[in-house]
Amino acid sequence: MKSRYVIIAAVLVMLAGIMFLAGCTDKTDKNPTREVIANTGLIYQWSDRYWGAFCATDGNPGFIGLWVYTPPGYNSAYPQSKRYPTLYLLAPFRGDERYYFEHGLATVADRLIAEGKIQPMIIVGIDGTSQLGGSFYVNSGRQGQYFTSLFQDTSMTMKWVPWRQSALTEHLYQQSVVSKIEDVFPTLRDRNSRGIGGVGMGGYGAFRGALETDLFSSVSAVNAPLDFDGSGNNGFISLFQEIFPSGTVWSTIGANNKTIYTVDTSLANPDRSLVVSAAAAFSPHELIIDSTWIKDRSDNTAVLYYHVGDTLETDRRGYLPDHLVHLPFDSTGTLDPTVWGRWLANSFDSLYNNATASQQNHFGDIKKLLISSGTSAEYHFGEQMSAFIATHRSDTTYTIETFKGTTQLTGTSDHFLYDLLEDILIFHSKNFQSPY
Amino acid sequence: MRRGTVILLGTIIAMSLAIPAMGGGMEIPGVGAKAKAMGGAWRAIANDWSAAYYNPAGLVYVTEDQFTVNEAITNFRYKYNPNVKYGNYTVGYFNGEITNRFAVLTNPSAGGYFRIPISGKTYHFGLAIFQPFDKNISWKLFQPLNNSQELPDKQIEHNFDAVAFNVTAAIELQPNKLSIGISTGVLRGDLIYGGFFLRPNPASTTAIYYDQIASRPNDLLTEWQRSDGKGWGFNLRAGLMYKATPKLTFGFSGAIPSQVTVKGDTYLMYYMPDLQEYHSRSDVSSSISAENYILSSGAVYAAHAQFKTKINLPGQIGGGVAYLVNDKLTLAGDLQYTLWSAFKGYEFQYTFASSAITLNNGINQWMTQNMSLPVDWKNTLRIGVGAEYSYSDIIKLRGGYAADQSPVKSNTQNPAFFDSGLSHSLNLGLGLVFANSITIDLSTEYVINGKTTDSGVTYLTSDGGTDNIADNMAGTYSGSAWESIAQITVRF
Repeated sequence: MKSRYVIIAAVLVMLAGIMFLAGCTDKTDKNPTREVIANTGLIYQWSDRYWGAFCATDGNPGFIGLWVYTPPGYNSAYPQSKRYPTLYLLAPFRGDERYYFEHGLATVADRLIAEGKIQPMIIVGIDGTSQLGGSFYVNSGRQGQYFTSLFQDTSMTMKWVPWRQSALTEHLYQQSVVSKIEDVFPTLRDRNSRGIGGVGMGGYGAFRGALETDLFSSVSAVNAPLDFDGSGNNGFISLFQEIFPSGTVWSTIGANNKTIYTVDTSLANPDRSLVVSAAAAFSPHELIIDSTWIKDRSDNTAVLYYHVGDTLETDRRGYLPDHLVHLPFDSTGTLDPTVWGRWLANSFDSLYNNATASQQNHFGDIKKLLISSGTSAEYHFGEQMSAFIATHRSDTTYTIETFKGTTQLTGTSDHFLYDLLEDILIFHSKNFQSPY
Repeated sequence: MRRGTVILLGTIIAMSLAIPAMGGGMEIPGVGAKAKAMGGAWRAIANDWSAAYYNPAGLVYVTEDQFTVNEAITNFRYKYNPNVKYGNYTVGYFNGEITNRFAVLTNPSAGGYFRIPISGKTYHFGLAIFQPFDKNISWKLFQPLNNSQELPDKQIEHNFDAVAFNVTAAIELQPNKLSIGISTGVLRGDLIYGGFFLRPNPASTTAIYYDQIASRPNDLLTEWQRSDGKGWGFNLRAGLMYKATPKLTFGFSGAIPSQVTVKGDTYLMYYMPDLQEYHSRSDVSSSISAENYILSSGAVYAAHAQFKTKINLPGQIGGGVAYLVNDKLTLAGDLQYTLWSAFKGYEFQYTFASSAITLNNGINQWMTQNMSLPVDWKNTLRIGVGAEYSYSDIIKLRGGYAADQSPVKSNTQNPAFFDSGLSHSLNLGLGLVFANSITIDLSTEYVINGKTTDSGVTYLTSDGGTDNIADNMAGTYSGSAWESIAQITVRF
């Protein structure tokens, strides 16, 4: 009997031990980690001269800077059998080709590729700066042919007018940025493998590029000026009222019996310089300088004249003929309907309505991402985004996201771009379709 | 006295740590293999050394002088799936379910009992070392987004032991009817706390390049600290046991709140965002302030300090019942209310040597700020039921069940104070008697912790609410635990 009790007791003890040992295992090897990514992409820092981007001060062609991210696995020393989709990111106002990289683009891309959340891709950061602050990525007689430089291979005749010299004429062939990238890097040369996006002004340029070319199958914009008058009386109008009140900011200088208003638009006043940049893009004063100084230009195609020797602030006569712009309001802050009408013609929905049927059709196929932070967006762009989103909310080709700030950090796109880049890259990656 | 000497020496020699917490807050819901096997429903029985914890009045029903040594082996399997976001933004927590750092914890405890006749009355005394409060858990679940250097492996390490060195005394007021008892002694607290804090970037919002150096993910800077200290307090428990009938016994007991002041050393590390590429720009390098340069240098700064913190441990009150169904079967039940709202977490007050940090005035002030790990807990109920069956003279079988509320309020969960909701425990035990003087008691327990999901970022006001440091970690918490205990009692 005793031995039976002992056996029973031993069995019970063994059961207890087994129960304990069954649970006693280390499961931490299955824990997720976010180790430092072993495979990192490369960044090519590249500034090339694009003859189309004229800065129109010293007559020399300007340039558009590019930084190019290539994914892990890309090796420029060997012929590439693998080709990659390409995403073009246009910088916002005052942003250059480094903008997205300074906000962690390479880190985010490396991590998302390592985690399998995006396919390996080439990402091009594009400079958006101009002499007046930002180009809006449009062709402008005042700032340069930015749209052409980005998207259109072109040839042109350029006439030089050096100071006190005879005019010179040059004929140039210029490759667009997109062509250049596809020549240099192993990209998939197919519309379904190209995307374009941008923050702020860059978002406007991206949407415009997606509409007016047939190069892209996906487009994204964060806090972009896509609806210039917002819900009818805000957007840019709010910005005008805020930064150009009547009175002391204006000063006048006279030349040739003309009164020309000038205003401090240095980059210490980003809101003002943005408005002047936008005016240079959407309502430039089409004066061409030649040996007679002032000449009205009747055509706007292939012949551009420059005057060498002028500076941004002044010339020997004390005015700025190379940078005259029409502002859409007068010194009392009242909207000028003619000039404002030229702006509104460049608002995205106007562009769409005036686009060709073919452009409208392929834009309808494009997948679009809109990200907005509402009222905290810079330059009142949130008002424009809200209005644009309201108009397009029912369109299933749009994906709409919103974000807001934290108690420590206001909800501007600049402050949160590190996080937004994840959404942007994942969106474009999902929409890339390999032709193979 | 020889027996008493043996008991005393044995108790002193035995290491203090008893069974770790398996349920609410940081409390040990069971001390002693027999009590544990019965789901902690021991308050109305308490007839061994563990009466010092459950009900000192039960000591009068211990029949022989004895000495007991306990050894508990425990393994916690907690799981945490982080979902920490500030606004819509992730801040560096790993994605996926994470289990706590693997550890098999061993905790011995001990106690003894002896009787002393004084003036014709028999007084019952006990000496015990047991651990009424304990937490032992560590995690690795975070990597700063803005600095590639990893935090120390035990990113969160919380090891708190409160060990009671108690003397227990009990007396029968009415023979076999009514007894009272008291257990009191010092409480030794040992605290190791290592953890990280995400602190708002102190860069001035008006400083040039603020937008560039304080945008996401640089709006939050990571500080990690490890504090190691010890201190003393006092504990007092009292109880009453009433045998209504020879079969039915009621027990009531309670403990007063305690406070342990812990002092020790702290090692701190500050992880600055890495913006060195940005620094190389000529316009930045000539314009950025020295303070903002440090705040974007990518460096990791370290410092030492002395720390002090007061730990408020809760009081409790409870009642139990035991019913002797027959000479083989005993049933018991227990209900306990613990005042966890008294526990406020840790407020670390640092003292830095003047030479500890010499970077820059603004940075120095920021780095030497006191840090806190506050909690906002609620009082809890614990219920236990158990049974003991005497299979024979030398074999006893025990079983029990307990349910224990979590003191953690919603959206205040923190892996350092892991307690994921209502826990249920199933207990089994076995007692074996050898040679009428040695008893071996075994118990095993399986605990399932409730699953809870927290969201959002919570700033608790118990630390003033002004440090803008999140006090919770959102995500899904769940877990379980295993424990086995072996107890040897030698009767004299």
